[in-house]
Amino acid sequence: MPQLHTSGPRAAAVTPTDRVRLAEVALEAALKVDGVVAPHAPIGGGGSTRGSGRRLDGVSVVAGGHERFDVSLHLVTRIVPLHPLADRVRERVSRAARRSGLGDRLGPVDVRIEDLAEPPVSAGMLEAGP
Amino acid sequence: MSGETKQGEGQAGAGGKAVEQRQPLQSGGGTTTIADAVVSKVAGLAAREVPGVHDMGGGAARAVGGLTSRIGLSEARTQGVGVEVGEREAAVDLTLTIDYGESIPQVSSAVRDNVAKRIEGITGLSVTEVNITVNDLYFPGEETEEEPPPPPRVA
Repeated sequence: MPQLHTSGPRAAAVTPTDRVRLAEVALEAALKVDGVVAPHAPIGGGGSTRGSGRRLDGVSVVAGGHERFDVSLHLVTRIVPLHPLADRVRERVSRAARRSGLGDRLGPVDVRIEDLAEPPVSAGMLEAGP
Repeated sequence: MSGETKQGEGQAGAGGKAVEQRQPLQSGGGTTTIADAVVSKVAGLAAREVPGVHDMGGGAARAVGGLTSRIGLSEARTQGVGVEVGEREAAVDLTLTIDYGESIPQVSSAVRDNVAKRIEGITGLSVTEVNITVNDLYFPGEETEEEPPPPPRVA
Protein backbone atom coordinates (compact mmCIF):
# COMPACT_ATOMS: atom_id res chain seq x y z
CA MET A 1 0.00 0.00 0.00
CA PRO A 2 1.43 3.42 -0.87
CA GLN A 3 2.53 5.78 1.86
CA LEU A 4 0.24 8.58 2.90
CA HIS A 5 1.55 11.98 1.79
CA THR A 6 0.74 14.40 4.57
CA SER A 7 3.15 17.23 3.94
CA GLY A 8 5.84 18.54 1.63
CA PRO A 9 5.73 19.55 -2.00
CA ARG A 10 3.78 16.49 -3.10
CA ALA A 11 0.98 17.09 -0.62
CA ALA A 12 -0.87 19.34 -3.06
CA ALA A 13 -0.91 16.62 -5.68
CA VAL A 14 -2.09 13.67 -3.62
CA THR A 15 -5.63 13.48 -4.99
CA PRO A 16 -4.93 10.63 -7.44
CA THR A 17 -3.02 8.79 -4.76
CA ASP A 18 -5.83 9.21 -2.29
CA ARG A 19 -8.21 7.84 -4.89
CA VAL A 20 -6.12 4.73 -5.39
CA ARG A 21 -5.49 4.33 -1.69
CA LEU A 22 -9.18 4.61 -1.02
CA ALA A 23 -9.83 1.91 -3.60
CA GLU A 24 -7.32 -0.39 -1.95
CA VAL A 25 -8.60 0.26 1.55
CA ALA A 26 -12.24 -0.16 0.54
CA LEU A 27 -11.70 -3.38 -1.37
CA GLU A 28 -9.53 -4.88 1.34
CA ALA A 29 -12.12 -4.02 3.98
CA ALA A 30 -15.01 -5.36 1.92
CA LEU A 31 -13.30 -8.69 1.31
CA LYS A 32 -12.89 -9.18 5.06
CA VAL A 33 -16.63 -9.11 5.64
CA ASP A 34 -18.03 -12.56 6.29
CA GLY A 35 -20.22 -13.43 3.32
CA VAL A 36 -18.17 -11.61 0.70
CA VAL A 37 -16.38 -14.12 -1.49
CA ALA A 38 -14.50 -12.16 -4.11
CA PRO A 39 -14.41 -8.98 -6.13
CA HIS A 40 -16.36 -9.24 -9.36
CA ALA A 41 -14.13 -9.04 -12.40
CA PRO A 42 -15.72 -6.45 -14.64
CA ILE A 43 -16.46 -6.88 -18.32
CA GLY A 44 -15.16 -4.00 -20.37
CA GLY A 45 -13.23 -2.17 -17.69
CA GLY A 46 -16.07 -0.75 -15.59
CA GLY A 47 -15.87 -1.49 -11.91
CA SER A 48 -12.13 -1.36 -11.64
CA THR A 49 -9.52 1.16 -10.60
CA ARG A 50 -6.16 1.64 -12.19
CA GLY A 51 -3.29 2.98 -10.18
CA SER A 52 -0.03 2.08 -8.52
CA GLY A 53 0.89 0.23 -11.68
CA ARG A 54 -1.91 -2.29 -11.43
CA ARG A 55 -5.62 -2.70 -11.80
CA LEU A 56 -7.93 -3.32 -8.88
CA ASP A 57 -10.99 -5.26 -10.00
CA GLY A 58 -14.22 -4.90 -8.10
CA VAL A 59 -13.89 -1.31 -6.99
CA SER A 60 -14.22 2.01 -8.73
CA VAL A 61 -13.52 5.32 -7.06
CA VAL A 62 -14.54 8.61 -8.63
CA ALA A 63 -14.25 12.15 -7.33
CA GLY A 64 -17.69 13.13 -6.19
CA GLY A 65 -17.34 16.72 -5.13
CA HIS A 66 -16.66 18.33 -1.78
CA GLU A 67 -13.22 16.67 -1.91
CA ARG A 68 -14.80 13.29 -1.39
CA PHE A 69 -14.75 10.20 -3.55
CA ASP A 70 -17.72 8.03 -4.48
CA VAL A 71 -16.88 4.37 -4.04
CA SER A 72 -18.60 1.52 -5.90
CA LEU A 73 -17.86 -2.03 -4.86
CA HIS A 74 -18.75 -4.91 -7.19
CA LEU A 75 -18.85 -8.12 -5.26
CA VAL A 76 -19.51 -11.83 -5.44
CA THR A 77 -21.07 -13.04 -2.23
CA ARG A 78 -22.37 -16.14 -0.56
CA ILE A 79 -26.10 -16.78 -0.46
CA VAL A 80 -27.03 -14.75 2.58
CA PRO A 81 -29.45 -11.87 3.17
CA LEU A 82 -27.89 -9.28 0.90
CA HIS A 83 -29.03 -5.93 2.28
CA PRO A 84 -27.67 -6.55 5.78
CA LEU A 85 -24.48 -7.80 4.17
CA ALA A 86 -24.18 -4.60 2.12
CA ASP A 87 -24.68 -2.54 5.24
CA ARG A 88 -21.89 -4.46 6.99
CA VAL A 89 -19.63 -3.80 4.00
CA ARG A 90 -20.36 -0.08 4.19
CA GLU A 91 -19.65 0.03 7.92
CA ARG A 92 -16.39 -1.84 7.51
CA VAL A 93 -15.23 0.35 4.65
CA SER A 94 -16.07 3.45 6.63
CA ARG A 95 -14.08 2.22 9.63
CA ALA A 96 -11.12 1.22 7.49
CA ALA A 97 -11.08 4.58 5.74
CA ARG A 98 -11.06 6.39 9.07
CA ARG A 99 -8.23 4.22 10.35
CA SER A 100 -6.25 4.97 7.21
CA GLY A 101 -6.70 8.69 7.56
CA LEU A 102 -9.09 8.80 4.62
CA GLY A 103 -12.33 9.18 6.49
CA ASP A 104 -12.78 12.75 5.33
CA ARG A 105 -12.29 11.70 1.70
CA LEU A 106 -14.86 8.92 1.72
CA GLY A 107 -18.19 9.70 0.08
CA PRO A 108 -21.10 7.32 -0.49
CA VAL A 109 -20.26 3.64 -0.78
CA ASP A 110 -22.44 1.84 -3.32
CA VAL A 111 -22.46 -1.92 -3.03
CA ARG A 112 -23.38 -3.95 -6.10
CA ILE A 113 -23.99 -7.64 -5.64
CA GLU A 114 -23.04 -8.92 -9.06
CA ASP A 115 -23.11 -12.67 -8.54
CA LEU A 116 -23.52 -15.42 -5.99
CA ALA A 117 -21.04 -18.15 -5.25
CA GLU A 118 -23.30 -21.07 -4.64
CA PRO A 119 -22.64 -24.60 -3.45
CA PRO A 120 -23.27 -27.54 -5.76
CA VAL A 121 -26.99 -28.16 -6.22
CA SER A 122 -26.72 -31.71 -4.93
CA ALA A 123 -25.32 -30.49 -1.63
CA GLY A 124 -28.53 -28.63 -0.83
CA MET A 125 -28.39 -24.87 -0.92
CA LEU A 126 -30.21 -23.86 2.17
CA GLU A 127 -31.14 -25.33 5.43
CA ALA A 128 -34.92 -25.57 5.11
CA GLY A 129 -37.04 -26.90 2.32
CA PRO A 130 -40.67 -25.98 1.74
CA MET B 1 -48.03 -12.98 -4.72
CA SER B 2 -49.76 -14.61 -7.63
CA GLY B 3 -48.77 -16.80 -10.48
CA GLU B 4 -49.96 -19.27 -13.00
CA THR B 5 -49.01 -22.77 -13.97
CA LYS B 6 -48.97 -23.83 -17.57
CA GLN B 7 -48.60 -27.41 -18.60
CA GLY B 8 -47.22 -28.71 -21.84
CA GLU B 9 -46.23 -25.35 -23.23
CA GLY B 10 -43.00 -23.84 -24.23
CA GLN B 11 -39.78 -25.42 -25.23
CA ALA B 12 -36.76 -23.46 -24.27
CA GLY B 13 -38.68 -21.43 -21.72
CA ALA B 14 -37.16 -18.27 -20.49
CA GLY B 15 -33.77 -19.88 -20.71
CA GLY B 16 -32.25 -17.69 -18.08
CA LYS B 17 -32.72 -14.48 -20.06
CA ALA B 18 -32.73 -11.94 -17.32
CA VAL B 19 -33.70 -8.40 -18.11
CA GLU B 20 -30.63 -6.45 -17.15
CA GLN B 21 -32.35 -4.02 -14.88
CA ARG B 22 -30.93 -3.26 -11.52
CA GLN B 23 -32.65 -2.25 -8.41
CA PRO B 24 -30.80 0.18 -6.21
CA LEU B 25 -32.09 0.56 -2.71
CA GLN B 26 -30.98 3.64 -0.88
CA SER B 27 -29.55 3.27 2.56
CA GLY B 28 -27.34 5.42 4.70
CA GLY B 29 -24.16 6.35 2.87
CA GLY B 30 -24.80 4.61 -0.43
CA THR B 31 -27.01 2.30 -2.41
CA THR B 32 -27.27 -1.46 -2.59
CA THR B 33 -27.77 -2.94 -6.04
CA ILE B 34 -28.53 -6.56 -6.75
CA ALA B 35 -27.88 -7.76 -10.28
CA ASP B 36 -30.62 -9.65 -12.10
CA ALA B 37 -28.31 -12.62 -12.39
CA VAL B 38 -28.37 -12.88 -8.62
CA VAL B 39 -32.16 -13.00 -8.51
CA SER B 40 -32.18 -15.60 -11.29
CA LYS B 41 -29.71 -17.76 -9.46
CA VAL B 42 -31.65 -17.63 -6.20
CA ALA B 43 -34.85 -18.53 -8.06
CA GLY B 44 -33.21 -21.46 -9.84
CA LEU B 45 -31.65 -22.86 -6.70
CA ALA B 46 -34.87 -22.44 -4.72
CA ALA B 47 -36.91 -24.25 -7.36
CA ARG B 48 -34.46 -27.14 -7.46
CA GLU B 49 -34.75 -27.55 -3.70
CA VAL B 50 -38.35 -28.68 -4.03
CA PRO B 51 -38.87 -32.45 -4.14
CA GLY B 52 -40.47 -33.48 -7.41
CA VAL B 53 -38.57 -30.97 -9.53
CA HIS B 54 -36.31 -33.04 -11.71
CA ASP B 55 -34.74 -30.41 -13.92
CA MET B 56 -35.25 -26.96 -15.31
CA GLY B 57 -35.45 -25.50 -18.78
CA GLY B 58 -36.97 -26.82 -21.96
CA GLY B 59 -35.63 -29.87 -23.72
CA ALA B 60 -33.46 -27.85 -26.06
CA ALA B 61 -32.28 -25.59 -23.26
CA ARG B 62 -31.38 -28.61 -21.13
CA ALA B 63 -29.46 -30.24 -23.94
CA VAL B 64 -27.59 -27.10 -24.88
CA GLY B 65 -27.20 -26.05 -21.26
CA GLY B 66 -25.78 -29.40 -20.29
CA LEU B 67 -23.22 -29.15 -23.03
CA THR B 68 -22.24 -25.54 -22.44
CA SER B 69 -22.09 -25.91 -18.67
CA ARG B 70 -19.71 -28.83 -19.04
CA ILE B 71 -17.32 -26.62 -20.95
CA GLY B 72 -17.89 -23.70 -18.62
CA LEU B 73 -19.82 -21.41 -20.95
CA SER B 74 -23.13 -21.17 -19.16
CA GLU B 75 -24.66 -21.07 -15.77
CA ALA B 76 -26.80 -24.15 -15.18
CA ARG B 77 -28.40 -22.59 -12.09
CA THR B 78 -30.25 -20.02 -14.18
CA GLN B 79 -31.41 -22.44 -16.87
CA GLY B 80 -35.17 -22.27 -17.20
CA VAL B 81 -35.38 -19.07 -15.19
CA GLY B 82 -36.48 -15.66 -16.38
CA VAL B 83 -36.84 -12.67 -14.10
CA GLU B 84 -38.08 -9.16 -14.35
CA VAL B 85 -36.87 -7.00 -11.54
CA GLY B 86 -38.09 -3.60 -10.52
CA GLU B 87 -36.99 -1.34 -7.73
CA ARG B 88 -38.70 -3.32 -5.02
CA GLU B 89 -40.47 -6.19 -6.74
CA ALA B 90 -39.60 -9.14 -8.90
CA ALA B 91 -41.57 -11.43 -11.20
CA VAL B 92 -40.26 -14.87 -12.02
CA ASP B 93 -40.93 -17.28 -14.90
CA LEU B 94 -39.82 -20.87 -14.48
CA THR B 95 -39.78 -23.83 -16.85
CA LEU B 96 -39.73 -27.16 -15.06
CA THR B 97 -39.49 -30.88 -15.63
CA ILE B 98 -41.41 -32.74 -12.94
CA ASP B 99 -40.87 -36.32 -11.78
CA TYR B 100 -43.58 -38.59 -13.17
CA GLY B 101 -46.15 -39.44 -10.49
CA GLU B 102 -45.84 -36.22 -8.55
CA SER B 103 -48.82 -33.91 -8.32
CA ILE B 104 -48.03 -31.04 -10.63
CA PRO B 105 -50.29 -28.59 -8.76
CA GLN B 106 -48.68 -29.48 -5.44
CA VAL B 107 -45.13 -29.30 -6.74
CA SER B 108 -45.90 -26.03 -8.52
CA SER B 109 -47.36 -24.55 -5.39
CA ALA B 110 -44.37 -25.64 -3.33
CA VAL B 111 -42.00 -24.18 -5.93
CA ARG B 112 -43.91 -20.91 -5.96
CA ASP B 113 -43.78 -20.64 -2.17
CA ASN B 114 -40.11 -21.56 -1.90
CA VAL B 115 -38.95 -19.26 -4.68
CA ALA B 116 -40.84 -16.32 -3.20
CA LYS B 117 -39.53 -17.07 0.28
CA ARG B 118 -35.92 -17.33 -0.84
CA ILE B 119 -35.96 -14.24 -3.04
CA GLU B 120 -37.64 -12.15 -0.38
CA GLY B 121 -35.35 -13.43 2.33
CA ILE B 122 -32.09 -13.06 0.43
CA THR B 123 -32.62 -10.03 -1.76
CA GLY B 124 -35.35 -8.15 0.09
CA LEU B 125 -37.41 -7.92 -3.11
CA SER B 126 -41.10 -8.64 -2.94
CA VAL B 127 -42.15 -11.35 -5.38
CA THR B 128 -45.32 -10.42 -7.23
CA GLU B 129 -45.71 -13.57 -9.30
CA VAL B 130 -44.06 -16.87 -10.07
CA ASN B 131 -45.26 -18.25 -13.38
CA ILE B 132 -44.49 -21.90 -13.92
CA THR B 133 -44.47 -23.85 -17.16
CA VAL B 134 -44.23 -27.60 -16.77
CA ASN B 135 -42.98 -28.72 -20.13
CA ASP B 136 -41.89 -32.28 -19.49
CA LEU B 137 -42.15 -35.23 -17.16
CA TYR B 138 -39.24 -37.31 -16.09
CA PHE B 139 -39.51 -41.10 -16.07
CA PRO B 140 -36.85 -43.01 -14.13
CA GLY B 141 -34.42 -44.77 -16.41
CA GLU B 142 -35.12 -42.32 -19.18
CA GLU B 143 -31.71 -40.77 -19.21
CA THR B 144 -29.44 -41.77 -22.03
CA GLU B 145 -26.54 -43.58 -20.50
CA GLU B 146 -23.19 -43.11 -22.05
CA GLU B 147 -21.95 -46.09 -23.98
CA PRO B 148 -19.36 -48.09 -22.09
CA PRO B 149 -15.87 -47.87 -23.49
CA PRO B 150 -14.91 -50.70 -25.83
CA PRO B 151 -13.05 -53.56 -24.18
CA PRO B 152 -9.29 -53.47 -24.52
CA ARG B 153 -8.03 -55.28 -27.53
CA VAL B 154 -4.94 -56.52 -25.76
CA ALA B 155 -4.53 -58.21 -22.43
